[in-house]
Amino acid sequence: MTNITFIIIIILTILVAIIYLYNGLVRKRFNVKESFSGIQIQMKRRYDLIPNLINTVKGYANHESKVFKEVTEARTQAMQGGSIEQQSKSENMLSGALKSLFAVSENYPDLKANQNFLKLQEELTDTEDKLQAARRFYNNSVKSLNTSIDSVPTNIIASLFKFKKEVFFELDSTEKEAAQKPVEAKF
Amino acid sequence: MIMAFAGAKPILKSDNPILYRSVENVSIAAGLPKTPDVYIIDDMSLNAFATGTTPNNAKVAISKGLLEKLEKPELEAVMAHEIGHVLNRDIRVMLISVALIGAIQMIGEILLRTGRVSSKDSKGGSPLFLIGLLFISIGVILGTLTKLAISREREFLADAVSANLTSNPESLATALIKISQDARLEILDGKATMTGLCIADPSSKAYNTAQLDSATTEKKPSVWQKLWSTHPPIIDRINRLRQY
Repeated sequence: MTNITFIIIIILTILVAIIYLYNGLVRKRFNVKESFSGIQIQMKRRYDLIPNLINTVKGYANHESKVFKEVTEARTQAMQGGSIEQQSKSENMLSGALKSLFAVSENYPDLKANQNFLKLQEELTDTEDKLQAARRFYNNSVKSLNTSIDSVPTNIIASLFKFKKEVFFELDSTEKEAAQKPVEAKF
Repeated sequence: MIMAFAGAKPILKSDNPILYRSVENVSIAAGLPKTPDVYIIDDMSLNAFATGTTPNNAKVAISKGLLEKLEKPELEAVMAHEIGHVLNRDIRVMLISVALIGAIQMIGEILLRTGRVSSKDSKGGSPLFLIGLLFISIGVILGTLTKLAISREREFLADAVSANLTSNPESLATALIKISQDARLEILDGKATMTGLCIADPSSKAYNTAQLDSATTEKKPSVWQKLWSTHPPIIDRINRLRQY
């Protein structure tokens, strides 16, 4: 009798452990999904702001068509989506194109005095910051999921129930540099 | 309610977009369900704190003086430290530890009083009286020391969260150097339970920043001082931040 209860207790413990680990993995996978939707919100906001920006800039700097084309193309490409690697690449391209647009607009003092332009510029910078923040949250969730999938004992459960590792949303090299550069302290 | 104690006023996004946005960004990076309410303390000294037992009712506050003194990345790092307190549920931890010490004290006092009453009848000393005395003296002291130790550890933890959220520990380090010049919040004098939630000890005197930078050991707080403070010495926090 005691042998049987002993075995039952062991089996129950293992079952509870499996359920616990499995639920942990499910939660982490859900976190990754949710945090990716956070990135999408910011990307969408950026797509929506860009046509407005281009129209405003066009009114002042009509002959900079090359930059407009670049931004529009980058936007269209980014909106097509695709895998996360593609998406992060096209988003980085869009960021680069926007940077050159803002660089060009530096040459037009009238444009720089335009309230609408200033507001759009502020909004876009803010969206870019938020996109970075959302990326960081996403990458943290991915890191947490991938670590569990690789470490003992969750790796057994993960392979049993086919949990897949997720891909990081990469920062491009210039942004990485900017993030690593320390801020100057002034007293 | 705590915000009213500290004389903090809530602000809207339009009142101070830079501050509000940095809180927003850090909340996104932390994955908070909503942006915490942002408050400004009308005080020129340099400090910031957070309240709220869950991320849903979290509030962060920053003093006017600090707001003016920090650069944008530093502001973000300080806000990330406060959000770190929210994420780690430090407010709850602190409330519980304060309540536990209160409970120990109460039990001690009950024992003390019942012991005193019964000792009148039996003429000899009652053990209850002694146990009560023990509770009040040793229990409360140990409890308080434990609470302070937890508080210090929580500060390091919130610093680590900030470094993780902003991936820029150096900003928090420079912000801490600035804060150490005048972290004193006069309005919080005598509200000891709140000091654990501030970014730096609001009852502390100003450090000399030159000493912080040259890392001289002579002015380092003694072990005794460390034991009784809610925050680790700023120099220790900076050293840890620079290791990340």
